[in-house]
Order: sequence, then structure tokens, then C-alpha cells
Amino acid sequence: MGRIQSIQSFSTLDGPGTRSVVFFQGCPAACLFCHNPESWAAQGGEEITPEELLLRLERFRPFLQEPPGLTLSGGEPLYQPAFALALAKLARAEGWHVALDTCGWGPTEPFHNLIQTVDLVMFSIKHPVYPDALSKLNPDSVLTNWQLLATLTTPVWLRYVLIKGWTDPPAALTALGRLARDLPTLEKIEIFPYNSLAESDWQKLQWDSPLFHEGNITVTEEEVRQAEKHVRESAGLPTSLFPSLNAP
Amino acid sequence: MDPWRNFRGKLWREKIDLSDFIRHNYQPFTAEPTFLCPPSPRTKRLWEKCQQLMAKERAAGGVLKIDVERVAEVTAWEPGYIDRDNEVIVGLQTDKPLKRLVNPWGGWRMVEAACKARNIDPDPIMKKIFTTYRRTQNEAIFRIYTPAMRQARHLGIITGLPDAYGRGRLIGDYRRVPLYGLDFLIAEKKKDLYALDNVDDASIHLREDIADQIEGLERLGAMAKTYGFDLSRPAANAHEAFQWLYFAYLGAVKEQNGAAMSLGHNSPFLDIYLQRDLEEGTLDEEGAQELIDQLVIKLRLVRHLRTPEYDELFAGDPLWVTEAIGGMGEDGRPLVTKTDYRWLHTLRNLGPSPEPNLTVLWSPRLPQPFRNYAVDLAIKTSALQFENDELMRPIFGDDYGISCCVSATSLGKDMQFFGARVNLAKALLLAINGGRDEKTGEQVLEVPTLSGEYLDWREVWENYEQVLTWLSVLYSRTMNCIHYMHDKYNYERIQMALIDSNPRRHMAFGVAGLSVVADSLSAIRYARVKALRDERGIATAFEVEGDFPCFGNDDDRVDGLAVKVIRYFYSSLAQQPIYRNAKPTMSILTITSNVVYGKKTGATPDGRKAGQPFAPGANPMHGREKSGVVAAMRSLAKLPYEICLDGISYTFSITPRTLGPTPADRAQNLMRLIDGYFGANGHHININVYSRETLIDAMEHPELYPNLTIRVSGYAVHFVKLSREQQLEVIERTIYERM
Repeated sequence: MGRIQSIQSFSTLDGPGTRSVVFFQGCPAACLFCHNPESWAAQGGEEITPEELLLRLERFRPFLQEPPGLTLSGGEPLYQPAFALALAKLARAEGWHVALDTCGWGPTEPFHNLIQTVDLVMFSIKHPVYPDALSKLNPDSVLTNWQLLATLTTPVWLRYVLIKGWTDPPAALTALGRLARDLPTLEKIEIFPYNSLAESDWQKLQWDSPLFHEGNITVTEEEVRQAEKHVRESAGLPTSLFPSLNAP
Repeated sequence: MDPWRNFRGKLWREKIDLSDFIRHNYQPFTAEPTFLCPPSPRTKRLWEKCQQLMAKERAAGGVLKIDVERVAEVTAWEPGYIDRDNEVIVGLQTDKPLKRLVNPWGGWRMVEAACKARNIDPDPIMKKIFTTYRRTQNEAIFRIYTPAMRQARHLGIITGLPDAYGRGRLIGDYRRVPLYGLDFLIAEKKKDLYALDNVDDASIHLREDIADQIEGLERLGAMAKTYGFDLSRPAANAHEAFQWLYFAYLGAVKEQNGAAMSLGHNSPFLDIYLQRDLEEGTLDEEGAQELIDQLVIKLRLVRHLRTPEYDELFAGDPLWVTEAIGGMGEDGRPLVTKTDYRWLHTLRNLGPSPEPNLTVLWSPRLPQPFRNYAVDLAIKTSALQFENDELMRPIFGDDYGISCCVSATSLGKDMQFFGARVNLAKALLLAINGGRDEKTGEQVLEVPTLSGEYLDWREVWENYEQVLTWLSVLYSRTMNCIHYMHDKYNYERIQMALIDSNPRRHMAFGVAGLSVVADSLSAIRYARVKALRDERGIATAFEVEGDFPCFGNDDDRVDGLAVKVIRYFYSSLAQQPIYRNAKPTMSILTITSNVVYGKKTGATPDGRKAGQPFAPGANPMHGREKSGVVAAMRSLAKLPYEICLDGISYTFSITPRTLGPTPADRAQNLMRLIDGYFGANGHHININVYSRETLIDAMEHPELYPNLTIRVSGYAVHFVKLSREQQLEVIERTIYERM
């Protein structure tokens, strides 16, 4: 039994192909720019067994490309490791391509088990050096999990949100490039501009984030391209890692 | 020259049988469409001229000219041309392009209101004739409407009724004119007429119908003669086949101003003629495309005179010149021909446009290149709709067209009595308010008053059943009045002449506001809904405590309620006696009228505020589809087509990026979505691929987007022709988009 916040039946943005996304309930990271703060509480959402959940997902399958994709997102799936692992195993056995969307939180062993089970890891690095400045994540724990990826064969996509004044200084981008360089299983680096829509999600809950009082923290598409260039050049990464550079 | 030279098959020669003719002679086309041609120089010049005329029409406020001196009739006008040097297909509704005709047969008040809105006086003699000497359909109907019918009509419970203008919805089998010529068709009708010599009402009624049809065909021939064509014999080549077919349709739109004047499914038929000319060396591909392009130009110029109220209901001057494309034959061969591609190609040669309303009959078994082409075009133009051929073919055979928005109809075999629709949400409010109208407080029927301030599911549902039963009786009786009088005073002699003499008749009932009702019932059942009543005891607002599932999320609890409502209502309708023994069908369809219906409906228990628009067609309410498009499609697909044979309209809008990262991905993903939806027994889907920003920009700068076409419920419309209110509603709709 586990808790989910919601299901998105069709997505082309959360991994390869067309996929359904399960948003897990509960997240300990508490990122200051979270666009889904309602998913934080451990006790909200809907209670469901992995078997029931998969049955619900199977109804979407004829509408998705083969193999159908399933992304475990959240919330933080690793906050409910047994549930996530059970769902991933069941889905894979039925032919789903399973991706894990994680911030790298959590103890090593469940992380290891889940990574070994899924087809793809989408690892969101909040900050390559100081994740604790933007979230409640423990930098050492995240780094340990990142390094663990190098010992496994599961392909990895690195995801990073560019926030003006917070995650865009050259030093941070250089550090991000180093993390990327050290991971042989890395397939892709996606850098997204900070999306100010998050603020209205916080307002709905009548919450506030110090980030929203920092003046303009949004970046332009051009600044995203510049950041990618910095990451790539500082670490000598191949262009093939950057989908934006290979766009048609 | 023998007009039937090189044609195969026997049956069709002796009696009218288009299916047999097509099956024996058409050539399926399964390869890539590398043969397509750009518009011919003549087409370009003609279209240029037409576009200037249409720009003038827009600048003049939507109506260029009205001919107030003549009464709509097939031979009333001398020949009219746009540009004789460049016009390959000829014939106009009046003597000038975009000059609108006056059609008083449906009713004089409509004529007067429409003229008044344009500051024109109708002809006093015509007025005298149609108000003193000749009874109109409208007058005849209102003389026999009961007080209850009038009340339901003016409160907007039964709405959009065709009681003041043509009912439309008929598709004459226009192909019969080129294949057989008028002499043959008239001779066949005479046989039918003389074979019926009973003296019972039904037989005499039918005999008068057929006599009218014969007269219609004779006058159609006379009209064509003024243009220098002899329709008495079959068409001898492709050019004649196109011209004959268009004249037959033109005859219909000269005499009838039905809301929907659809064309049928003509590609395989026309392709046979084009193919024969190509093989005989008398035509090349440019000439073939020219014929299609020029026919489509003519179809884009058909107009009718409407009142401002009508325009509010059916925005953008639509005519539903619906033409079906594709589909599979019952013998397993695809009905896709080169001409299906030529027809779709007009969207590229002439630019996207709402008319003709191109409808792809979709099947997973269609040739893959055709599937690719259609989906790609849908993404690029937002001008196509798709309907599930696998669902319709077993019921309508493989020779069917789409009438109006979404309604399948066997060509030449079926006719329908257009039934407009009832407002299911207002009906629910009657159940909650003891049978009183929530706006005016008028007592409409007697149902028990609800007990507590919180709505009790059982009490509400029992009342709702009573209301729906009452409504099905009133609704079917109202339709019977309308169609009796329409047959009598505004009979469609030309269209009916091109349908079998004793056709299968459908009474096409309809419902609006289904998702509002489903969500409201869900709120009452799964959350707690408090009715806030005014001093009259009428609930003017509702407070919902707790969560409840909404239609459009693949949640059986609420989707089942939607099904329960339409099953109950349809089974009540099916028990009512229906005019001319028509078979009842039902649609879940609103066109653009979802805005007007919403305006006329008070607050509902789902949290919708008074006056807010409904969702279009069978769509989930705006913004309540929290689980994405596939879940929404799954909910829609649960609505049973077998009791909604008139069609279940779903309008789908998505941003390009949400559909996929590259154009190739988008086409593949969309194809999979359509296959998935239809595989789950979904019936119809409008495809819109655009961003909200584009629409907002078009609203602010309409001059930059004269051709921006979008699909609304069952038809397409130029976005800039919508009222601001309707534009805002379209923008408010769920456009699937994720950040």
C-alpha cells in the first residue's frame, strides 16, 4: 500500500516516448522552488496498492507508444521505497518502460534497489554543491547516491533548474559539469528555466518561499543556452548529452 | 459518347445503387501521395478574387448583399458568375457571389429580423404573400404548440429548435444526378409514385412527397439549362460529373436554409470519373486538382441570411458542408482514393478553412500513408475532425456520409429529423427546485420539494428521473409538431428526390450539458452539497463540502453517472410515439451554443457559477480533467454509441510541445491517441493543435489571423468570426499543456 497524489495519463515531457506519470505523495526535500508543494505532506493523497495502481495505468496503455512509459515522480518516490519498488517491478514485468524521477534523497540501500529495477533514472540536481541552500536535502547523502549511479548500468538523465542568482553562477555550473563528467551512464543533461508558475501553487496553500522575495529570479532561453555551453565546455562534455543542441 | 463507357458492374445500371457502382469501379490508392499538384493558374486567379470578396464581406459586418426581391427557389435567379474566364465549375445561389437570398418558407419573422439587423426593408409584396396568403412552417408550428412547449422553449429547457428556418441535416445523394441524369431519376420516382395507390394517410402523404420531388428534379434541370448544361442525361466526363454534382447541391442550397447542409462522401465516386479521363488522356493531374479546388471554392461561398440570435448560437456563419473522407469498404478494401488526397490537399492549395467541414472516417486499417497524411494535416491546420469508421460502418454500411457535425447517415437511404437538444443541466435544477425554473421561478412541472438544506442523492435522483421522463414526452411531442409542419410547408423536394422514396427516418434528439450534470450528481453523491435558497425557495447557489470525482478523469464513479443519465433519458425517449415512425437517435453535441446554454442556466451543484459556459459537446468541464488527455478520452469513450447514434462530440486541444518534441513525434503520438480513443469505442474527435498564446494574440489582432481555423464542437470556424465571449470560452477550454 502506498500514497499517490495524482496520475497524469499522457506526457511527452517526463522521459522518452509517451508515458503516464504517477506523482507520489510525500517529499522531504521541501525545495524552495517546488512547483508541486501539495505533494510534500506524507499523509495526504490517495491510498492504493501497487496492483490496483497498475490496473489503472493499464487502461491508458493503448493510447501510448510501444513500449508504454511509466514515470515515478512526485513528491519523492524514494520516500515510499517499498511501494515504488513494488510498482516498478510489476510494471516492468508487464512491459512498461519505467523511469524514476528523483532528487536523490534517501538511504543508500533502497535507492540502490530501485535504480537497479528501473529502466531510466532522471536525477534532479537541485544544486551541485549546496543543495541545502535551496532545500532540506543533505549534500553528502545526495552525493553518495549520485556516485552510486556510476556503479550501476541504469542510464541516467541529469535535470537541473536554472534560477537566477541561485543555480546559475559559473562556479555552480562548473561543479555541475564535473558531476556529469564523472558518470559514465549519463545519457542526457536537461537544463530548464525556473518557472514562476510555482509561486501561484504556493499561494494556493498560503505558503511563502524566500525565493519569491529575491527580485527577478527567472532566466531567459538564451541564458539557459549559455549555461549549457558553460557546463559542456568547462567539463569537456560531448554535445550529444544536450538534447537542446540536437533539436531539429 | 456513352457516358457509362468502361464502367463495370450490372446491378447499378438497372436501379439506383451507388454502392454497387462504386464497388465495381473505384480504385483504392495505397501509395504515398507524391502526385499532388499546386492550384492551377485559373484557380489562383479565381480564389484571389473570392478572397477579396470575402474580405469585403467581413468589412461590411458579415453580410455583403441581400436580394430582397426574390423568394428562394431553384429557378429564381438568372445565371451568376464570379469570373467567367477562370471559373471551371459554375453556378451561384443567386446572381452574384456572396449575395444572400431571402428564404421565407421557414418563417417570415426570421426574414424580417435578419433584414432589420442589416438595416434593409424586405419587399412589401413578399411580406404580404407570406403573412396573408401563404402559411409558413414557423406560423404553422406556433399555431399548434401547446403552452408547455412554448414555456420549455422560452425558458431554454428545449432549445435551438428548427421551428423558424430549415431543419437541414438531410444529405441528398447528389452523386445520383451525374451517374444517372435527371430523366432516369424522374422515371424511377414516377414508378414509386404510381406503385403507391393506397388511400391511407401515410401513403397519400408519401405520394405528395414524391410528386414534389419530381417537380424539384424538373426545376433543377431547368436551372442547369440556364447555365447551358443538360442534366437530363448522365455526365459523360469528370468535368460534367463535378458540375452535375454541384448543381444538385446548389439546387438544395438555393431552396433550403437548414443549419446543416452537408455534402456526403463523394471522393470514391468522383475519383472514378477523374481516373477514366486520366486514362483516356483527356485530363491531367493539374486538371483533376483544379476541379476539386474549384468545387471547394464554390462550397466556401455558400451563404444564408441569419438573425443575430442565430449567429450567437451557431457562430461564424457555418453551413456544415460536411464531406467525409477515407473509410474502409465492407469488402475489406480501403475507400481511400487519390481524390481523397486531392480533397484534403485543398487545405494546402486554398488555405485552411472551416468549409467544407472535412471529416476523416478513421480506421486502423486505412493505408498507412493516408493515416500519416491526415494526421499531419490535422496538426498543421486544426481544420479536420475524425470519426470512428469501425464503429459506424457496422450500423450504416460503408456508403455513409456525416450530416451536420458528427451524425452518420446512409447516403440515399436515410433521412433525419433534426431535433436540436435539451438542456440537461436546467432539467437537473428543475429536479432540485420542485419543478420551478431557477431563473424566473415559473412552475414548469410538479415534483416533490426536497427536504433538507443538504441535497440527498436519492431524493435528487428520483426527482431527476421524473423530470427526464416528463421532458422526454414534451420533447418528442414538440419535435413531432415541428417535423409534421416542416414536411407540409417547407419540404426539401430536391434533397428528398435524391434519397429513396421511403427512407429510413431518424428522429435526431440531442442533449447538452452532460458533464455539468455528471459532476453535479457526483458532488451530491460523493461530497456534501448545501443548496442556498432565496426567498422563493429556489437554489441560487451551492456550497460543496469535500471532494468529488469529475467527469474526464477515467473515474467510473462519475463516468457511470453520465452513462446513467443518458441511458435513462434515451430509454424514455424511445418509448414515445414518433412522427412517421422515425427511429429515435441521440447526440451529445452543442456546437458553439454551449456558451448560450450556460448563460441561460443558473448555478449548478458542481460549483459552476450561474451563467458560466458549459463544456462543448460531451467534453469534460474546463479545467476539471486533472489526469490528462488519455484519462479524458477514456471517460468519453464510456458513453455508449449504440444509444447515441447521432454522435458524441469531443473537442480536443493540445499545444504542439505537449504532443511531442518533434513534428514526427507529434504525428505518431496523435495517431496513437486517435487509435487508442477509437479502439476504446470513442466516436468523434476534433483535433486542435495550437497554443493559448496564439489564440490570445488572434483575439487582440484579428487582422493578422484572417484564416486561423479552429475546431469547435463538430465543426470548424474562423476564430476571428467568433464573438468575444465565445473567443474567451475557447481560450478557457482545457488546452493540454504541461510546464
